[in-house]
Amino acid sequence: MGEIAAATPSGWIEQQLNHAAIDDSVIEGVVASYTTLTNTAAQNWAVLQADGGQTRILGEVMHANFLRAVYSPKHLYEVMCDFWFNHLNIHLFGNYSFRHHTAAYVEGVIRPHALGRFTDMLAASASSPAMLAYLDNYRSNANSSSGVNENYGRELLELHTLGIRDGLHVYDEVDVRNASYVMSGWSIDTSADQDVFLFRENYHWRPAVTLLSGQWSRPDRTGADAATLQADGYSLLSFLAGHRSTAEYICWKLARRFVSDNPPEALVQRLADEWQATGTDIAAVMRMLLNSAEFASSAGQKVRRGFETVTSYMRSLEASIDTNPVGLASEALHSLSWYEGVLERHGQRLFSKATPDGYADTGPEWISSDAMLRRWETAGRLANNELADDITVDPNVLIPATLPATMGELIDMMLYAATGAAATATERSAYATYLGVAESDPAASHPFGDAQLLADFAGLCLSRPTFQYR
Amino acid sequence: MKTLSPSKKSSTGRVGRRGFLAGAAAAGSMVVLPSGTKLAFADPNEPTKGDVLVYLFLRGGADGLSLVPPVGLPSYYDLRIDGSYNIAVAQGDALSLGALGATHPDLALHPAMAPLMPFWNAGEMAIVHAAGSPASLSSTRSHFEAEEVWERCGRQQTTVDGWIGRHLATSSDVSGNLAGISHEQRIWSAMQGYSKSLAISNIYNFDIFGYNDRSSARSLLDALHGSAGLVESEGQDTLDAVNTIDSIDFSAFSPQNGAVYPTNNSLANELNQIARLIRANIGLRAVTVDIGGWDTHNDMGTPVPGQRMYDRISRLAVGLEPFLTDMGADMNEVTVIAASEFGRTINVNGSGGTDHGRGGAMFAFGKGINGGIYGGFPNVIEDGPEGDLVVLNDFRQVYAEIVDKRLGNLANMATVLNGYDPGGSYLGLANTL
Repeated sequence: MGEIAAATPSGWIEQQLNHAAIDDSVIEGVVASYTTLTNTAAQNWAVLQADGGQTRILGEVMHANFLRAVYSPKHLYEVMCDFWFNHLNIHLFGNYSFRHHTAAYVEGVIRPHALGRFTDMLAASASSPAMLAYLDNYRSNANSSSGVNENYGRELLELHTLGIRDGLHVYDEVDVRNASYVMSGWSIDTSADQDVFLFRENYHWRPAVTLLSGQWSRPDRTGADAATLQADGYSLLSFLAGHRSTAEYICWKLARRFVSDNPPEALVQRLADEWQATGTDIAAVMRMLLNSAEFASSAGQKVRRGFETVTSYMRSLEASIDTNPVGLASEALHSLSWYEGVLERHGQRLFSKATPDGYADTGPEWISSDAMLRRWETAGRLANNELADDITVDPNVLIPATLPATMGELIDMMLYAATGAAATATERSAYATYLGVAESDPAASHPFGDAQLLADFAGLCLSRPTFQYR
Repeated sequence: MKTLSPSKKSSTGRVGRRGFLAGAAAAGSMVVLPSGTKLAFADPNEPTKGDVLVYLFLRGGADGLSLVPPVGLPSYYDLRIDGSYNIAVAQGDALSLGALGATHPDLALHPAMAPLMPFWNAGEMAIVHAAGSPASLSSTRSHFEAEEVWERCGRQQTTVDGWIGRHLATSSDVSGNLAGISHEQRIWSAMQGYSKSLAISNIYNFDIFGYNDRSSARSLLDALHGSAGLVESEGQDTLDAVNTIDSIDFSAFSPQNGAVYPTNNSLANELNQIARLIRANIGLRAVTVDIGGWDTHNDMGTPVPGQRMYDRISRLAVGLEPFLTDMGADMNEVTVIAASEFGRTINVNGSGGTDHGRGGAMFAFGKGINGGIYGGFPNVIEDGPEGDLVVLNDFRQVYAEIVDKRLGNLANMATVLNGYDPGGSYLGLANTL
């Protein structure tokens, strides 16, 4: 995110929006070896049940997307993928029987549409086995004696589309029930353990349905064929995606992500207009957002979330990483402990928010005493090469090739190299005291020949308060 | 570097009403601290001080009709047994609430609540059923919105802080820098509004790690953090708290009264730490802890081990029991509130589960609690227009009575509860301090 804030010229924005043209062959070449990302559901079901299969299934999708977050030149696109996964959240560690769908959900639902049309992403999500399983819709049978399961219908309105802002929402409980009726029958064929999408006609609610006081409706469908019934669902999803309340809710979330915890309502309204005018074109909305005056003045207003903290530390110290998470030679090296350890300690293990609201996006949720200790700890461990066996850094990257005259200037340059911002006088003095030097001492006399001191210093550069913001 | 007497009560022989904190204060004087350590213990605890509040939240919308099933109502069985699904608790399986429950003879406890029955029988457990947010505050069935309403006594963006945070910010009992702790990675909404609220997910690793020279690292971090800014001020509070936590040998506060915290129960592990924090006499006044997994949209099952709802309730009861046992007589200075953001629909759904509803069950524990069932409950439960148990009891009634009678903060009631004040009209579930 530092890159985005630092390079607001519209040329950079256009380059990032046109992500397909950015050469990410290096990182994607690595990720291509993770075959569970592109396997069919049946293939991944077989992998899941093999020895070490679960580690591979979970490890590859997490590792691939962790690597992309650190190393991909498609900065904006990767941020958007993260945003949308959390917007249409599923839980990687949910029901064992459906874990083999997570990669397909990331690769096939979220990533293809992250800068595309929201309507398309929503439809892909609604028909994906991962979402159908996560929010129970695959079992929602309107014709059973006990009726539909409204878990998906509720979150579709509350979290995926129309939304709630400060307790206000345009839908009511009857709408939740009716959305559940329209989506009943969207299910999974579990018969062959392949779990592909299946529309179950006999689960579907056929009477007439109306939502939002008649803004969307469909007639009684007695006798209609499956294609017609399923088309009703797509019609509803499309209607919801383009609704004004959805436009405002999602644009508010985008502005909250990119601008501030309490984004200016005027910006939200402009973005929502663009959302509706362009038929839910995410790139168009992002173009407007990133070119806005509100975004230009937003630097330093947002706290880095847990995941961003770790990835930004790694980028700052130019960490290298073993890219083979479950290769035959390194399976032990890449147990899930890496993720369950470091990212868990930062409260943001990838794809692992159990509840459908996704990870929080406001500062107070991420800054606590526990979080501060972990932020300092991870910085120190990374700089000391103690974070994970497969991650390596050389803190010497912070030392400029040509030394400046004084220690004060050297501290400035190293802090800038680590965090992208100049030191205040107070900070410079504090770091000099820490090193046991005077700012006026010659830089050539620096104490960084002591590797342990250099590593600790590098970790403490990353721990600087301003670097916890973006 | 420090020694604490684990059996302070026997060593002091004080078993009076406020005995354990007084005893702990005496024990606290035995802490040996390195010179120059910044230590801000609370004022010596006094008998007039309010209870330590443990706010236990059952996240996900716990089914009150399973926790406290209305086994005396035929309509309960009509709606919980449907087609191939039976998620009702049979009268023969439920735990009778006996004379203490005589006010509500239709209600019983789920069999997995058995570990808590000794506390019920001792009159140290109160139940409020059909509890929730009145429509005038919020009738949302959204987890996230409802949790905010319970934690803030208001909506998310118009109420920027939480009820416990406002209590701590106004209570005369509060001093030091460890009065409010969320036993988690994040500070709960309920704790916001008190500037020194802390998140401590694990007392055993609440320290600076990752540096070869941790002492110098700490000094530099201290110089870099200050009072302005979210990160800067939280960093400073963290360093202050580290100094205190670091000075305590928590292993000295081993469980009392034969309590055994099962290691495979995360709630038990958390409450074990919380008990140690309370006993360490560091000025802790309120702590939040949660247990998730209550969003049972499918397969709630029958009330036997191995079935989903049974196992979930069992984890709650098995996790809470050792804490109540451990604290023992000291529960005269601790109040536990257990609550969830809403109850669930009455009728079993098409997946053998239940969907988001309104009224749910709320509990309070402690020696300052009057055992019994309080507030209204319907004579017939009906699958009404929205299919759920109506809210007959405003959750803020429970908060209010605890704030007044157990936390001693009547003077700031309206502030604490964001404008709500029952004017001294209570359910009667707590004794005055």
